[in-house]
Amino acid sequence: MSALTRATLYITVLSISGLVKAPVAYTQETQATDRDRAIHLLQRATYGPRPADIDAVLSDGISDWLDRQLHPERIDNAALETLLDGVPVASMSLNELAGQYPPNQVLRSVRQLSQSNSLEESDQRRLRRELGEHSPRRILDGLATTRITNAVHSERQIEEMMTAFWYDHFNVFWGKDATRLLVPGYERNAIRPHVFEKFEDMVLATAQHPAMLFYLDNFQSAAPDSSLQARERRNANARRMRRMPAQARAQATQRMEEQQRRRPRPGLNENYARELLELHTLGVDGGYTQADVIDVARILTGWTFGEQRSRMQMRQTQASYEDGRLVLPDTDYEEAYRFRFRPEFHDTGEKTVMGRVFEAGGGHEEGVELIRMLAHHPSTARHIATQLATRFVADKPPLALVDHLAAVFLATSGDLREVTRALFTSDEFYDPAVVGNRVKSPFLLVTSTLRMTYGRTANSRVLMETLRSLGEAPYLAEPPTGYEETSAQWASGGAMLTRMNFATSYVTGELRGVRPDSNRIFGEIRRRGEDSVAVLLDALLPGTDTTELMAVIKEELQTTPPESDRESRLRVLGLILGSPEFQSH
Amino acid sequence: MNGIERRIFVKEGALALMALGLPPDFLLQPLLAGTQGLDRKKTLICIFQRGAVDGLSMVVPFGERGYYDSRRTIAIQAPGSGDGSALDLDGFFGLHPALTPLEELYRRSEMAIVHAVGSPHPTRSHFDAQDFMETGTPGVKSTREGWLNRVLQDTECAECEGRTLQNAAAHAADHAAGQLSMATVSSLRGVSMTSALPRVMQGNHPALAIPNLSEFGVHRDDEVGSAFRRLYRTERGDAVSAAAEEAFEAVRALEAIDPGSYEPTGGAQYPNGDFGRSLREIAQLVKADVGVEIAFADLGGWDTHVRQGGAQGQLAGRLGQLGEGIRALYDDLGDRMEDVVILTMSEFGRTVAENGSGGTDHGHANCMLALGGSVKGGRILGDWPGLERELLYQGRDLAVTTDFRDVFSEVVSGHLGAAHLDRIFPGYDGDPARYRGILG
Repeated sequence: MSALTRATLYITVLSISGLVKAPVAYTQETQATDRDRAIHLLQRATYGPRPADIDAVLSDGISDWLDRQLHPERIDNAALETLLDGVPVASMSLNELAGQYPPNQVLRSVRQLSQSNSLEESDQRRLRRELGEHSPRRILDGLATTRITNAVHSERQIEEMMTAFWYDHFNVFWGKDATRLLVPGYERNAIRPHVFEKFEDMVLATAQHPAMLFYLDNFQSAAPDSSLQARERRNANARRMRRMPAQARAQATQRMEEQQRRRPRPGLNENYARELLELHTLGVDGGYTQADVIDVARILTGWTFGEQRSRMQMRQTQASYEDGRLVLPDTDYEEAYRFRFRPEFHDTGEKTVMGRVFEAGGGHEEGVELIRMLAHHPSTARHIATQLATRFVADKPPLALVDHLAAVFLATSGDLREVTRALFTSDEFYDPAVVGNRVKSPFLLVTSTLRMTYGRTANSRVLMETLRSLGEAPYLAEPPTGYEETSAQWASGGAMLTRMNFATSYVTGELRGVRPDSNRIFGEIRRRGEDSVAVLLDALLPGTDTTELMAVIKEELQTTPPESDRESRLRVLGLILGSPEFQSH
Repeated sequence: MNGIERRIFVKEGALALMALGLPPDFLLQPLLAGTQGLDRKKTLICIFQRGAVDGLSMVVPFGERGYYDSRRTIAIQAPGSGDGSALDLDGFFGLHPALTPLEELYRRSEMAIVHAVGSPHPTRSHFDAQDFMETGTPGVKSTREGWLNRVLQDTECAECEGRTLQNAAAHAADHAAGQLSMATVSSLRGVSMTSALPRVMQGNHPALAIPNLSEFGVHRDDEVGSAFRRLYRTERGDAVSAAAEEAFEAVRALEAIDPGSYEPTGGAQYPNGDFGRSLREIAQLVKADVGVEIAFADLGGWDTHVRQGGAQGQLAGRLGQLGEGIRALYDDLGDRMEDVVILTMSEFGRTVAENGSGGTDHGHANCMLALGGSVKGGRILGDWPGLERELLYQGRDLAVTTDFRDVFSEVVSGHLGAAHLDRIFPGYDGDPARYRGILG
């Protein structure tokens, strides 16, 4: 038998024997203990199972602990609030944000000034520095710092987890022009308050929020042939043509018709309507047709905000440089971006969506009715149930769980508190087969790294760089689908290297402003006086089988001895944080 | 078998061979096989000019009266008008003087130009238009994968994942003989010289983002590298280990070519800066035969709304960087250009008329440059619509007469052998009859 044929045989045997298995937290022989269940719940529903968290769940009991988390207002969060004192962005109003970080166009002339020779060089430099402080990038910095700090430090862990989940569900990309100013208010007002309330209220809040109206273009959607601009244009043309002699009029009419043919049909924009059905409510298999998409778009015509003219005027107001100071203009962005229903854009014809007829002559209220109908539809219940089960249980979610969550959704009219509770108390959630088998998403990896090591989060930029290269930077998902609920795709070659390198750089202090609290972690070890590797493994990977990891670490320490105790501890910490065990949850 | 299982299957094969006493280096042989015919791959290098470059300045329609009427201060003068004139290409179009390094390539018929190419979608949003050009599905925002990733999937052997369908004869012979094909490092088939994998490269097929070739690898490798390699072993049977092993293989393959000591050949002079470095690293990867079939680089700074400049200025400076970079890449690749196509692209063009700030605003159609041994160069391809007012798109922009998907389709089918264009550009009614004849 040739070598290669033998190899082929060997391989065939190996593959038949079944190789794919999860790095299990406990084998099939052992029974799940209360502690195991507590750890698993914390691994999935929070940003990391610290020893104190495990104790809290065990002492309250899962049910009571969960109930408290589902009523976040009952949980004191003072420590977090102190940490966020220096990061106001997430709580600034639209006018405050626009005043502090005006759109680029407003700064254009001052920016030109800072690069021209009409100023002294020292003044130029000072002006440029000042301009940097007003860069819209700072809004993203603030948002990111807040999101990361919340995940790492908030006591209201499940509220944070679900705010991130629902933001992603109703995704808005931060980078599209006006969204830069609108996203903080969007998360604060349209998402967070609703995560444990009625689903239909969240859909309505996002549908009427300027961030979503802008991001998916609905603010400029108007009934074909009855848009204000088209009407005004037609009137102006008609007036002009009436004054022409007959022959010129005929030519002008012909030219206009040719132009109309080439110009795209003004008015109706289906973008938001489609995503409302496909992503936000019914789901891609929810049973709607293209005709339904069009009629939803027609129902939502007129759902917009302020006057375009006033928004353009605002952008044209310029900042100025007076007496060595940057002077930013005052404008009322709140008014310009407040939700308005504009009847003159609205299509008042009859519409049919999923078999339900919306009679002609309807106004704003038919859109509200539509949203309520969609929010309570069985396809929506199924869609939401599938997403939750995929995100928190398994990439191929157990059908029984999806059925159960959909049933709870419908029975409670979309009460997200109850649906969330049902998810985290279901048998399927605690099934040993799914414990420990998910790859941590990049955001969870970074935040659990910080949380488990009591890390400092002063510099969100360096963390956002890592998150961007790993493919899950918050607020920066470009398509409306947001980031994926499944976990398998996170395990790609380049990403694994980045994860290991992140762990190594983090523990060695190479990430500016972001490092573990070594005293706290290692102080614990010194106190207990035991085998430090074992203590660390127990703290960072509770409930996980770490015999292999321990063996490899110990052998490494022997073959490549570190130069000091400190280096040894940091290297062990880095290996644990970069280990395959820590990549899973 | 799903993707993860197949990858493990292939790795097991490698390990089994090791168990039979064959050294691991055996696996590197195909990678370092040099430029023998059987292992030489075709490569496509895409360069994305992000921000909507002014195509009318890159390839100047000096034969159009309307061009000069609309651009009183930023127009490039017709050839023969002294310093800063356009370089005559065909009596109607000229090259921006800052692109001088590419003129010779046009003359040698190594470079072709497609003009008035773009998207059927009217959006003038950078964000949306880049999205559409990267996913290859204009108008559809929910496409998750990039078209280049779908090309990688299309040109991959279904039975031995990671192996390209290029060199099909040798490959088929392997299968016919019942021999297990050695996997190339599948994540090196597609590389992007960026810090994160761009949309165009994202998808089910592994692809690597390499922000800096000489830094690619395990950080503090001598301290933690061997530990990590032992921790992430295929026997674990999980997704993270399979992916990590692929990464380690890529690291090994790349270390073997010693990026730090690379010297360009052919007299190549790369411009300073990240862009020049990215192109130099692509050249190195191609010449090292590590299996790169698709390489991607991008360059920003093209959004010239204010003080664009003409023969000199902001835009000219950027074009200089582009021209020098592509020329250096071409020189460095030398006779490898036989197997390479370089293609530039940008999400849309700019307005015909200059605006009130000495710049141009967002437009519609643009131009693309195509270079390579198989390119039928020395021509300006496409269907020039003209710049008369009534022929402009929405009365302001150069009209699109070639869908960008036709250019992409022609290149990937003719050069890389991609077969299922309907999967690479879903929803597109492609037709080879519309190809502009970029490839000979």
